[in-house]
Amino acid sequence: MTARANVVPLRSRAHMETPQPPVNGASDNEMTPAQYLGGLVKRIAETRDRNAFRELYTSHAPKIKAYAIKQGMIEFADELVQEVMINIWRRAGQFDPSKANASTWIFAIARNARIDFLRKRGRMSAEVQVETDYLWDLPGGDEPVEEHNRNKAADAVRDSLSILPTEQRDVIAKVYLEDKSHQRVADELDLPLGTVKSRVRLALQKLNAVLQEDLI
Amino acid sequence: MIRHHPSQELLLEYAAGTLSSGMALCVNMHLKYCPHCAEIVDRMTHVGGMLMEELEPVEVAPDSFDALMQRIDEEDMLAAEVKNTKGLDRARELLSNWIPGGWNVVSWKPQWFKIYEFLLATSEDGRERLSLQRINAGGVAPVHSHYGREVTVVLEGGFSDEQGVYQAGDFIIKDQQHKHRPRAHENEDCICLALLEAPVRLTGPVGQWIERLRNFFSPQMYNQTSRDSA
Repeated sequence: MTARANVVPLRSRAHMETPQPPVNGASDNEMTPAQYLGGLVKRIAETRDRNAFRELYTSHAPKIKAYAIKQGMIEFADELVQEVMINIWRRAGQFDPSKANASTWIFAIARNARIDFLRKRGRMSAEVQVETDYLWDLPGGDEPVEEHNRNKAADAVRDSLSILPTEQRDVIAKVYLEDKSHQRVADELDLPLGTVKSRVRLALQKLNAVLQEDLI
Repeated sequence: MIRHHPSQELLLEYAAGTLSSGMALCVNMHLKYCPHCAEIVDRMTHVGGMLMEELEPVEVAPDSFDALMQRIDEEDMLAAEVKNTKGLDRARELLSNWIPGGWNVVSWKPQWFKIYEFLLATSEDGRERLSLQRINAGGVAPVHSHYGREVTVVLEGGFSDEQGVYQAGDFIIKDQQHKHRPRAHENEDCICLALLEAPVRLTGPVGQWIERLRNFFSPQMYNQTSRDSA
């Protein structure tokens, strides 16, 4: 039933592989983009390396800005970028490559900065008076996982995301990137609410096999 | 052993950052007890990271990096501390934002026989309450259902109702369809974190009379319109 035409191989999308490592491809001896990015964060942490920070800024500020705009924060997009970057600068020492992937960590910082921004402006209901970072932990707070296993899990998640049919993937992307309720996604895609819900459910079922694999 | 977990949809919304703060606290509290769900959330967060990497970049002002560095220098931003707390200590640490001495020293407010509450926060309209609840060993709550969702995370001890038995770390959601009568285990007090999205509805024979009086005095607070929280 799954039409192969709907399948978009993620790995073939050149623009997602950022920042470009010095060597392309990823065999055992070469750095993956995530490892390269993690190296930048490490340099920032250890020596307050401004060149590394500039490099990270150049590759990721435009993505964080895109995220802010997708979230409907057009007039505050630059402000959000600055907040996220300041957090990366300040918190680089908390990043541990054995516990988390660098782009996941940056996404979580951007997510939390966005939430923090909305909370301070009172747009979220039932305010709990506690720092956003306590409510939404950054990845990597837990026991270290062997890097090999972490990479294996990361690859598996990426692969399973890449074989989702486009329609399911789009719906998931809207939930992550556009702060959309199921109802708003339905309105925008001009679909019945039930269809949106079932696409999210199907996508989750497919991701689930991977999300639950080899769990403790 | 933890048997009751948040749904996949809820974990997804947590990872995406679209839950209310109160709901996020409940999910996060569960994660402190449950390495299984914590790992799923890590992987779901990873999906977010990959989706963000794929976004079409939007240009930032060419001098914005220099402006940022200037701000960093002027405000003399220090590196954030590295925290080393783990596991259950982090659950206590999370709660210590409201109750620095832990739940053993709070002034519990009696609600019913053997049942106490300590209020942590309410929403401005008063419809949503975040609280700690304690049922002393062997205590039984009155039969009730809910106008909205009630989320309970067991922190210590355990309780049971018509639908199951719950232990520390369990994450339970009840809504309008669930009528239940929680009962603490016989040998220890049960402490829970509870988020009530709308007031409790009493459904027992006496409760129904109390309910009618409530409706009479403040119908707007107890109307049945449930809110879509996500």
